[in-house]
Amino acid sequence: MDSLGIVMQPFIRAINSGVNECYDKMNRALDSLTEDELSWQPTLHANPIDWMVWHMARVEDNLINVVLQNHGSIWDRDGWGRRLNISYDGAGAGMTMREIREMGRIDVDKVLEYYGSVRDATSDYFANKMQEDDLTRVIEHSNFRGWTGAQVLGRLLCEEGEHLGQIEYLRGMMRGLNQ
Amino acid sequence: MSDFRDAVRSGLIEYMEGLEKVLDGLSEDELRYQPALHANFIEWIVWHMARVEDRWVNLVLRKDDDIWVKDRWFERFGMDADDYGREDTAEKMRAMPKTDIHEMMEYYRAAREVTLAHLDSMPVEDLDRTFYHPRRKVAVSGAWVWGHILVEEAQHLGQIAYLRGMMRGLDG
Repeated sequence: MDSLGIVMQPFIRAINSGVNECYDKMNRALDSLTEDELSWQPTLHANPIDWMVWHMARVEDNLINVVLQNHGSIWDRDGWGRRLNISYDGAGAGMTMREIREMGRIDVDKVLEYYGSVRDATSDYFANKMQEDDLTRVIEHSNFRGWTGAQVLGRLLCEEGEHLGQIEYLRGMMRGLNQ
Repeated sequence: MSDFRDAVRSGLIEYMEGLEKVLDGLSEDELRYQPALHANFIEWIVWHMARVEDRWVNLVLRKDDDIWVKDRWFERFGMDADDYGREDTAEKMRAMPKTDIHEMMEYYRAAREVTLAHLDSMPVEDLDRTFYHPRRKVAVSGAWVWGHILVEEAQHLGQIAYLRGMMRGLDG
């Protein structure tokens, strides 16, 4: 953590530590879940785990690469839509349950591969690419117009933490406490 | 360097506002609903969230008493001074005394005031300082603690939002 490039921005370490904690805990929460468990819904309109993992990866890709850095997503760059057979091209906010079901079986192992390369790009951004004014600059992206970069990073942690908590809760519902 | 403080502050404020929104209008029964017998209910989760933030900021970062004890909140709720919910059994959770959720949020906001004041005044060197995890007794850095607070609180907020969705449907 100490090798992070932006010495003038020490609080980056708090954000970096948080996103890594989330990612590690998510991998633990997914460990050994079956396909049926990954797509289980406790009620008909409740999101399944596989969708949430895909959504978390898409959100991070979008916030870090598109919103903060103004370049394309890794999803587009590496053709993940085709590789995962998912034609929906948003990050998933506001999707209806019908759209979610139409995505069909989500290949979680492949999504995790995508998530891994998103996470590598995030670490690289924090360590090497971040510009000082990235945090104070007002965002141009239409979904976040008027936000600052700092707010976008706060959102990233909140959003990923929320879905991580949901995955853990669902695992607990299916398997019992700490199983 | 104040900018990254802004990122942490923005996250803290976002999940508090999120919490207020997902609690809005929930009935006593909804606050105690368990989708499975060992699954945490919302009222307990809110208490646990407030306790977690209070403990990390006051016990660990500020090395002081927590607000729960200092301002005798535990007495008002008829609960233990040391309890914060970690590793509670489902039986213990269900035995939680009935609380007024508005009063619980008052406690949370009192803890939050100290959190924000500490975030503003904390010297940057504290990010690299060693603190001790109160339960696991392992060394952690100040940066880790702030990241952890955001993650843990967001996890529980996500659970409350999910439970609300299960009971009321999407955006209900």
